Amino acid sequence: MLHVASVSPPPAEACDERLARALRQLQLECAPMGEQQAPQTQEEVCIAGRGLDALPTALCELTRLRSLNVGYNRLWTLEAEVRAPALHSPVSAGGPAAASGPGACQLAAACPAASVFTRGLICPPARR
Amino acid sequence: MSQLRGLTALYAQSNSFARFPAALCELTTLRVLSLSMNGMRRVPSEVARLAALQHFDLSDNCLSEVPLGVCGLSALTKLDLHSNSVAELRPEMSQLTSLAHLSLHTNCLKAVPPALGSLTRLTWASFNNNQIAEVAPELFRCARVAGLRCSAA
Repeated sequence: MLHVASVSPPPAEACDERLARALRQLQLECAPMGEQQAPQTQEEVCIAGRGLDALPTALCELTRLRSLNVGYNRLWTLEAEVRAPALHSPVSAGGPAAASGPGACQLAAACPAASVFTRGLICPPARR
Repeated sequence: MSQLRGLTALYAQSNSFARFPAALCELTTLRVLSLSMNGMRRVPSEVARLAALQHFDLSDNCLSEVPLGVCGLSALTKLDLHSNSVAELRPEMSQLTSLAHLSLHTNCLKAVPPALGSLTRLTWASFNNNQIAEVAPELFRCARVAGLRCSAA
């Protein structure tokens, strides 16, 4: 007799726990040392004025997010994916043409291949 | 970013988005989008996909024209385009039929075209700090306009 395993969606508790974990991670990544972090929720996040060059990885886990404030940072991209080949070659602002130019940067030795929004993977463009 | 399918408000003012982030066009549930103070020179026509957008803040950028895609946002009630380098207004702006608040002060406008007379829901508009020599009389037919700033620079 052939048994076919059914794939059921994750229970709500697991989803809640995943979101809560992502939120805790977000607070850890964005709270400056010794500074009181503003309360964040799964629906509303404010990480304005944190000097961020890239969005925190945990942010894209917050699938219930309704309102996001990322103002007054140094963000230059909202790209959710850093393509795999780019992880192993220098990436720079302004596309491939500038990859070997003065703006090009080397990746850190420990390269989290699956991560997105990872700080330091992409050089920000020269500020206007 | 495109995973955040339920996002209704995104405040991303004063960052370094020299280019409009293409991923934003996927966030079709957005009702409020602030991208002021970013140094953007253009906004792609795909922005018209943000059909639920009600407030779009593009002030304090480097736009030389009203983005065509913006003119397709028929749910828009508030459009902030002040402090750019806009020299001319598009006739397509007449499609912004829900618009109540329009800020265009501190640009390079030389005229206010008749097309704006079609904005029947307009209640507030600012055109001060431009080089306007001509205001189409149609604008004064916007019966609901309660505030209109047109003073010289």
